[in-house]
Amino acid sequence: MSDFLHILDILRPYVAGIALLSGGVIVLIGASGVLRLPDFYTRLHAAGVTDTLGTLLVLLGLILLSGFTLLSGKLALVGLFLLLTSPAATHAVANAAHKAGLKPRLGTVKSQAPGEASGDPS
Amino acid sequence: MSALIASDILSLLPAWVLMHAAALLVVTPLLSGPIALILSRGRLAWAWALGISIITFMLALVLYGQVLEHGSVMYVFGNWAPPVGITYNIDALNILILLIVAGMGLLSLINGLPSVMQEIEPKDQAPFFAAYMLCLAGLMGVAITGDAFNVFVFLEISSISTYILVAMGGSKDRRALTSSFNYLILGTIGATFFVIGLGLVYMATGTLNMADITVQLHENGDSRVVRAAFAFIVIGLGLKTAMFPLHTWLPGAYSYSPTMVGTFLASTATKVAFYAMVRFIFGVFSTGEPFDGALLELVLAPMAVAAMIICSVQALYQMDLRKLLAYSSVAQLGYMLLGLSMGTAAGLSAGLLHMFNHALMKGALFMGVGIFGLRYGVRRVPDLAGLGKTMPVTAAAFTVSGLSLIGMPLTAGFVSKYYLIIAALERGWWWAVAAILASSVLAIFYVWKMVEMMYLREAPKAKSRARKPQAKAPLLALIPLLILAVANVWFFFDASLPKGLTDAAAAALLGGGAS
Amino acid sequence: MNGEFLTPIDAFTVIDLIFMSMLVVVGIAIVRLKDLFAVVMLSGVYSLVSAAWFVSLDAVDVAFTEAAVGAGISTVLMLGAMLLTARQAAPTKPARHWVALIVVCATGAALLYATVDMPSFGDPLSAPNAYIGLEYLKRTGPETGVPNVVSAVLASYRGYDTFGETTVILTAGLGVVLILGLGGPAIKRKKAPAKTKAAKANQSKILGAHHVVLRVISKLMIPVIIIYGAYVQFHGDFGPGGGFQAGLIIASAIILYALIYGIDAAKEAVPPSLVRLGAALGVLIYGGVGVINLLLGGNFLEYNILNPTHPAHGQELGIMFVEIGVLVTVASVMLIIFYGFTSRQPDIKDKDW
Repeated sequence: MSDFLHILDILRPYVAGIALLSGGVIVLIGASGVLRLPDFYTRLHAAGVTDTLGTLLVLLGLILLSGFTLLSGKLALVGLFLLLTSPAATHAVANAAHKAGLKPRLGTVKSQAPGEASGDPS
Repeated sequence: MSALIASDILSLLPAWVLMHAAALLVVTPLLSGPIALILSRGRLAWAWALGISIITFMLALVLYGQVLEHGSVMYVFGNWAPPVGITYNIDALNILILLIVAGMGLLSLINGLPSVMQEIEPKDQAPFFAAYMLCLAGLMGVAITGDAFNVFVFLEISSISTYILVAMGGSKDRRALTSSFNYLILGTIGATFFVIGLGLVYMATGTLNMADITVQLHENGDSRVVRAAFAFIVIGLGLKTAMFPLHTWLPGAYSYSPTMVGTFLASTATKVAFYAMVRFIFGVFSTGEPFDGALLELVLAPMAVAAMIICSVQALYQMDLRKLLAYSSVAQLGYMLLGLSMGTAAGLSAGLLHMFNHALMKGALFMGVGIFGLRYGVRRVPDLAGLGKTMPVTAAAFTVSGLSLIGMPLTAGFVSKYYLIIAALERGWWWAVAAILASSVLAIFYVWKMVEMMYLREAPKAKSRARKPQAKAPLLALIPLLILAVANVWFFFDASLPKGLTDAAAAALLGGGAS
Repeated sequence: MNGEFLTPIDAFTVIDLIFMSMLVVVGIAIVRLKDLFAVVMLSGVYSLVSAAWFVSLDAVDVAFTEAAVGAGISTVLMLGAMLLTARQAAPTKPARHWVALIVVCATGAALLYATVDMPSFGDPLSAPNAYIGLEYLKRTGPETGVPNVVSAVLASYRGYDTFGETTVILTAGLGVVLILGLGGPAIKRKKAPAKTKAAKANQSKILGAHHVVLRVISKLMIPVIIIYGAYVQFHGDFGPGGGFQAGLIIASAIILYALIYGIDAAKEAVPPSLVRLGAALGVLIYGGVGVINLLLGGNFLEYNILNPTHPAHGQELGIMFVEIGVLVTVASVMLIIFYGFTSRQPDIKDKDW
C-alpha cells in the first residue's frame, strides 16, 4: 500500500506538469479562437469553454504540486468559484448581446468578412 | 522679553496640552471634519467648525510660545524615533505659516457664515464645512511636518478638499466647475511630480525624514538621481504655488469659488506651497549647492519678475473684481519667489515677510469684495460705484488693504517691499529693484481703479442698486475684515512678530555661510 | 551608486520585461482609442497586468491593492461615469497635444537622465534596501509581533501617513457627496402591501428568466465575497491584505448586489445615510485610537500604551483597530462614489438587459 502511495508521490510532479501544460495549451487555443472565429458568439464560445477547462487544469496542476497543504485547499476553493462564476459570466455576456439584438452569423464561412468583425454588445 | 511672557503663559496650561500641542494642532481639525459631516445642520456645523478653529488658533499660539522658548519643537508620532517614524518639527519658519493658516482659517470662517448661508444649498452646508476643516487640517499638516512623505499626504488632503470647495461655487456660477476641474488636473500633475521626486529621493537616501535626508545627501553627495528629484519636487511644488508659467489654474479657482473659499485660499493655500518650496530648496536640499545657485538665479528669478510684471498687467485689464485680485496674487507670489531666488538670508526673510503680509492684505481684500457682494451683489469693478458712501466702513477697510497691496508707507505692504528692495540691493540685482518698482506702479493703477470707483463715482440711482440689499448688515462678516485692516497698519509700526520669525527662519535655513 | 551589484538575468527578469512591454502596449492602445468603453476595459487590463508584475517583483501587498482597485472597483466606477457621458471621446484639435507631448518628453528625459545613477534593481546595498528598509525588517518582529512587515510599517511605524491617506479617501467621498449627491434613499415599491403576493408574482414575471442564472450565482457568491473580505481584513497581519483591500472587496460585493438586483435594492440593504456615516466613522475610529493613546499618556498612535505590560500586544491591538477604521472608510467611500454615479443616471431597466 505504502509502495503504491510512494509511486503516486513520484508520479505527482509529472501529472501536475501534464495538467499545467495542457491547461496552458487549452487557454492558448481559446485565445487563438477568440482571434480567428468569425462572430461574437463563436468567439465567446471559444473563450468561455477553454477558460473554464484551462484554468481548472492549471489549478489542478498547482494543487498536485503543492500537495496536501492549506495552499491546495485555497486553490481548490479558487477552482470552485471559477467553476461557478466563469460560465455565469459567459452566460451573462452572451445574454446581454442577445438582448441587445446582436444576431449570430449563420451559414457557412466562405471568406473573412472584416466589416462584421466584432459586434458591439450593448 | 516676549519669550519670558510666553513662558509665563505657557506655564498656566496643563502639561499634557503642551506636550501634545503639535499633534493636536493638526489632529483636532482633521477629526472635526468627519464630525461636521455627521452634523446635518449647516449652522451647527459652522458653530462646530468655529469652535475647532478657535482651539486650533489657540494651539498655534501655544506652539508659537514654545518655539519662542525653546527655538524648535519636535513631536514623534507613535513614539518611533525619527528616521523610522514620522515626526513634526516646528521651528520659526513652520510656526510663521501655521499662525497664518490658523489665523486666516478662523477669520475667513467668521467672515464666511453669511455668504455660505446664501451661496450653498442648506443640505450641502454641513459637508461643506467638513471639507473646509479638512482643508485647514491638510494645509497645517503640510506646514508642520518634518517628514517628506507626510508632506505629500497632507498636500493631497488639502488639495482634494480645495477642488471640492472651489467646485461648490458651481451653484452660483457654473464656471466654478470647469475651474475646479482645471485645478484638479494641474494639481494632480503637480502632486505626481512631487511624489516622483520623493521616490527618487528615497532611492538616493533610503529615508523620508527631512532632517535625515539632508544628512544622507550630505554623506552620499551629488548624483543624477538627486538632481532629477530636486527638479521634480520644485516643479511639483511650483504648480501648487502657482509659480508664474504654472499659475493658469489660480485665477479661475479663486474667482469662481464660494466667497469664503476664495478668501481662505487666497490667504493660505499658495503660501503653504511656497513654504514647502522654501523648506525643500533651502532645508532638505541645502547641500545640493551645484544646482541650487543656477536654478535660483537663472530659472526662478526671471519667472518671479515675469509674474510680477505680466500678471500685474493682466490684473489691470480685469473687470471682474475677484479675478483682478487673483491675478494680483500671482504677481505678489512673484515678490515672494524673488526673495527666495536671491538665495540670501535677507532676501528669503523679506520674501517670507511678504508672504505674511500678503495673507493679511489679500485676505482683507477678498473679504471686502465678499461683503460688497453680499450687500449689493457686487462682482465687477463698475459695481463698486458709490460704495464709499453707502458702505463707508467696509470701503475704508478695503482701501487700507488696497494701499497695503501697493506698498504705501503706513501699511504692512511697505515694510516687506522695503526689505525686499534692500535685499535686492545687497545682492546687486538692480533689475530686480526696477521690477519691484514697476510692479508697484502697476499695482497703484489697478488698486486706484477700484478706489476711484468707490469714492469718486456716484452710485447709480434707480438702477440695480436694490438688487440684493440684505436687510441685516453682516456685522459678523465685517469684524474679521476690520481686524485684518488694522493688522495691515499695525504691522507697519511693529513688524517684530513676523520679522523676528522670518529672520530666525532665514538664518536657520541659510545659516551664516550659505550666502 | 555602487556598481558592484548587477541585477541577475533570470526567468523573473524576463517575465518582468514581458509585463512591462505589455503595459506599454496597453498604454498606447488606451491613448489611441476613441471608444471609451474599450478604454475603460483596457485600463482594467492595465491594472491587472501591473498587479501581475508587482507579484513578480515580490510586492504582493501592492499587487493585491492594485488588483482590487484598478481591475475591480475603478473599472465599475469608470463604467458608471462613462454612462453619464458619452461612449466616444470627442475629437480634439491636434495642436492642443503639443504642450502635453513636450511635458511628457521632458519628464521622460529627466527620468532617463536619473537612471544612470540609480542603484541596480535588487541591490542589497542600495540606500532603500540597506537603511530604513532593513531597519523595518529587523524591528518589526520583536517590536510589533506582526509577521507582515508591510502591515506594521503601514499601520504603526508610518501609521500617521495611513491616517492621512484614510482622510484623503474620506475627502474624495465628501467631494462626491457635495458635487454629485447620493441620490437619496431607496425608492419604495409602488404597489400597496396588501397585494404583496400579486405584486411579487408580477415582479418576478417582469424580472423575467433571462438573468436568473446571474441572480442565483450572485446570491451564492456575495456572502462568500464578504467573508473573504473579512478574511483579508483580519489576515492582513500575517499575509498580504488589510483594511484597504478588504474595504474594496466588501464594497464590490455590495456593488455586485446593486448591479444584479437594482440600485434600490442595494440602497435598502445599505442606505446612503449609513454609508455617509460610515465614511466619517472610519476616520474617527482611526483617529480615536490615536486619541485614546494620547489620553492614556502616550504619543499619538503610540499603540504600545494600549498594553503596558506587553507592548507588542498593544501594537497588535492598535493595528487591528486602525485597520478596521480604514476598512469602514474605504468600503463606505467606494459605495458613496457608486451611489453618486448611479443616482445620476436612469435606473437600468430590466428590458435593457
